[in-house]
Order: sequence, then structure tokens, then C-alpha cells
Amino acid sequence: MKILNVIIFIGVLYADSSDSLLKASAALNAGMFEEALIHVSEAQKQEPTNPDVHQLKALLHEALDEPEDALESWKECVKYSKDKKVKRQAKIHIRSLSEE
Amino acid sequence: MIKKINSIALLLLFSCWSGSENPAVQSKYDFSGVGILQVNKISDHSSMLGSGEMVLNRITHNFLKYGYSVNESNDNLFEVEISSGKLSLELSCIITEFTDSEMIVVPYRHEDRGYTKTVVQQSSDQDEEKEKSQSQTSTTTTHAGKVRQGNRVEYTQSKVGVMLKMIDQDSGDMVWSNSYWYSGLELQRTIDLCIKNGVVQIKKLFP
Repeated sequence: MKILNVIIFIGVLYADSSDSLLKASAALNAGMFEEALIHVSEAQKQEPTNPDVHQLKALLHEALDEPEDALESWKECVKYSKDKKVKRQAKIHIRSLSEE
Repeated sequence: MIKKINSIALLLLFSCWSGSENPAVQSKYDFSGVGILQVNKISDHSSMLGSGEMVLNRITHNFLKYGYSVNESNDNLFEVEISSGKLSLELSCIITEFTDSEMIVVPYRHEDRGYTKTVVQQSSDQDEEKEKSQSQTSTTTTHAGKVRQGNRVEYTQSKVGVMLKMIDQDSGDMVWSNSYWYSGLELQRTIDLCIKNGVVQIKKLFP
């Protein structure tokens, strides 16, 4: 029983985050932002340092009118992104959201 | 000499774009004396018909939202009542970017780092006659990871960019200028937030 629990735990720990992102993408393209956010949040748990995940999450929060959560996600995006364009985009959003 | 001027102009243009958050303001101008802000017609962006009208609507909408009176004059121009001052300003807008849905592709490289599983089996013989003894065995299994590449996540993004400037109607002096850019998942919301950022800064000029 203990061995089974260990195997289940390992399975959960190494679950495929790419599936979550693909599901998020499908939901997003269907305009189902709340559904997409659930899947992006799952992907974020698996890949907490992926700036693309944070960027997508931030855009979803903005579309759902959740400025505080969007601000947090943009900050995480700036923290992990190495792409100058993405960083600039994130900074513009942070400035705009901070003024609200 | 011309090359030097061109390079300075390019440098200025670049600094204007990259430093879009900081508006250029004529410090000597008395903004407290402004009574009317006339919003000029906005030309469509080459990529979309009707984009000028959309942006104009969002400008007037935001001024109205911040408590200003907005009137349409006889020549179909919108006027924002700022105060009872005698000065008049003209607000012009150029749409620099208007993308309804740009495909964003996020290629992902999923890395499975693998794992090591250790199973420990322990047994004890508690027979009183025999000396207490314990035995322990452990098995370690290593699972190799793998890297999967080539898949990608796709979604569309809207992008809107504008350049705003204000000119004093009597003197023709440019008194304020800035550019704004915003992105989002929905075009309507993206236009609104882009314009809102501009209107918020213009609003700060008037006491």
C-alpha cells in the first residue's frame, strides 16, 4: 500500500504540464477564459519559472477583469523572462494596472 | 550635416517610442486656463477600416467616464468641456498599430527529469529464544527522463498603439505629446485600456 502511495505521489509530481497548456490554449481560442485560467494555473504549478505561462495567465486575468491577480502574474513574467519585448510588454501592463 | 540631423532625429524618435510612458509637456503652458479640448477626427489604420471611429469613441467615452461634458459641434467634431477657461486645445491621434488577432506561438520544450525510486523493506525477528535480529534490504530504481520538443501552444492577441498630441488652437504650439501601446486577448478591451492610459495622463494636466 505504501509503495502504491509513493508511485501515485511521484505520478502527480511529474504530471505532464504541457497537457494543461494545450487544454488552456483550446479553451482560450474558444473564448472560455475562466476554463483556460484553470488549466494555465495547473501548468504554472508544474512550471513555475516559465515566463510564457505567467504572460498568458496575466492576459487571462486582465480579460476577466482581475487587475490585482494580473499585476502579480506580470511581475512574475518580468522576473523570469529573458525576452526584451515580453519584458517591455509586461512593464507597460504593470504600469497601467498600478495606476488603476 | 544632413546625416547628423537625421541621426539625431532618429535618436529622438526612438527615445520617444521607447520612453512612451513619459509624456513631453511644454512646461510654460498654462493648462489651468484651458476651457475646451477639441478632439479631431482620427484616420483609420491601414489594416482596419473603422479603427479611427473605434478609437475616437473610446476617447470620448473615457472623458465622459471621468466626469467631463462631451459635446458634438456643428462640424461633427467632439468637444470636451474642461473648465470655464478661455484657452482651447486640439487633441489629435494617430493609430500606429491596430492588430485584431495576432497569433502567438509558444513553443515548449517539456523536460522530464526522471526520478529515482528507493523501496526499503524492513523485517524483524522477535523470537525471544533467539537473539533479536533485524534485516533490511533496499532496491533503487532509476527512471530516465526524456525531452519532448516540437509542440506548441497557440493563442491570439490584440495590439493597439496610438500617438496623441495636443496643440493650442490660437498659437499652434504643441503643448503635450505621448504614445501608448497595449495588448490583450480582446480587441475592444485592448483599445479601451490603451486609450484610458492616455486620457488618465491628459486628465492630470487639468486641475
